[in-house]
Amino acid sequence: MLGSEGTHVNLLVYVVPKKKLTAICETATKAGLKPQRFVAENTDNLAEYGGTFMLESFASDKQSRLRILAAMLVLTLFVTALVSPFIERHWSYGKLLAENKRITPLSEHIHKRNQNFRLHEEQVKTINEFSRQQPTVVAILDEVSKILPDTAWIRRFHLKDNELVLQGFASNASDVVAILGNSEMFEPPSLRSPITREPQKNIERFNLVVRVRF
Amino acid sequence: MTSLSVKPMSPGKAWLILIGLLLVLACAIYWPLNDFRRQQLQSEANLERLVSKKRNIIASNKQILSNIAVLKKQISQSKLIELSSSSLAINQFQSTVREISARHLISLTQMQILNPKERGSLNQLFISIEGYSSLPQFYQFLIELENHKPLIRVTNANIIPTGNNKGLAKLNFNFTLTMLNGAPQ
Repeated sequence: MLGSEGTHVNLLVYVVPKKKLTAICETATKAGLKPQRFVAENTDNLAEYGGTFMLESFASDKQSRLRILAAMLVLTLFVTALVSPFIERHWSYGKLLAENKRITPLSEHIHKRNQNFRLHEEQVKTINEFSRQQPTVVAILDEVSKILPDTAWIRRFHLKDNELVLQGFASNASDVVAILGNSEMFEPPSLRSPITREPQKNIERFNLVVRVRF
Repeated sequence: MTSLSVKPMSPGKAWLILIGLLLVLACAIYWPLNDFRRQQLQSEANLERLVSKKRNIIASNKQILSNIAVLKKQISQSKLIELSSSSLAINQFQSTVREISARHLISLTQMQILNPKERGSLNQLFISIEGYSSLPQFYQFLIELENHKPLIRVTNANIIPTGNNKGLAKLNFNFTLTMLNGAPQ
């Protein structure tokens, strides 16, 4: 053999006698070697031929096809293994998107309903606060008339928020201040102006402010 | 005719080429794919959270409906607020005050509608009144006002007795009455 190049094999064949060349060529063709060309070179006593035989083996073709198929299969499996998690996640994401689209209108509707519920809760809270806005004017009037002695009378009763202003007369205004200070309904009072005495009537004038306890 | 010689590649060189190829693959494919996968997982987790939240909202629907029904029933049955439109409610409020004052022989000298205030989703209506009456009638008037349903509260009360210290014949008063008003259920 002289050498090879791809599927080509260069052979140096000595054929003796020369007429056997055709038979050898046929045998080589049957064996899967298809001669492409022959170059005959005469020697002194032999007919020498050199030629190129192309490998044309069906068996080798089949093997290479199998190898290609196997390589493609491995490649396909590799790509599938690589891509399948992404596809799986994509499908999963798609399903979630579809569900999100399906439930969004319903959940928004229920969310509004929930806001409506909070509104009603707030209303109940406001109503309770309003109804517990105690003590009422009647209760304060009752307390004042109950604790003040008969020797005291009120000339002005002014209630704003929880601040009560009382102006009046008493035989002893300091007692009035002390009595109001001892009441559970009121915080200790403070005088808005000094107690003044009216000597002719033997009474004292008071002007005080007291905070109502809620 | 010349002979051809084919020399196989050395194993070291082949390994180097293979490692180089793998590195190129890692740079070109693995890291971008890994980043993409992380983003994909993050997006999916975010969407999953959102969907889960919405599922919970939907699951609580029955409870919300029943709670709303209970609250509405409580509000309407308590009759503590006037459930009508604002204009109707203020008219009703005025009529109620007039009726109660008439029942207790209270002389109203002035009645003024003040601007309502918003208290959450409710309105607080105000009426300022001035008048005079005897002490017992005034007391009964106050009691009926404060026990009225819908609730009426007296604020900013100013009471000035007139007369002498041996028996007050008359009380002058002015105060602000207030009540809550809500939209019809």
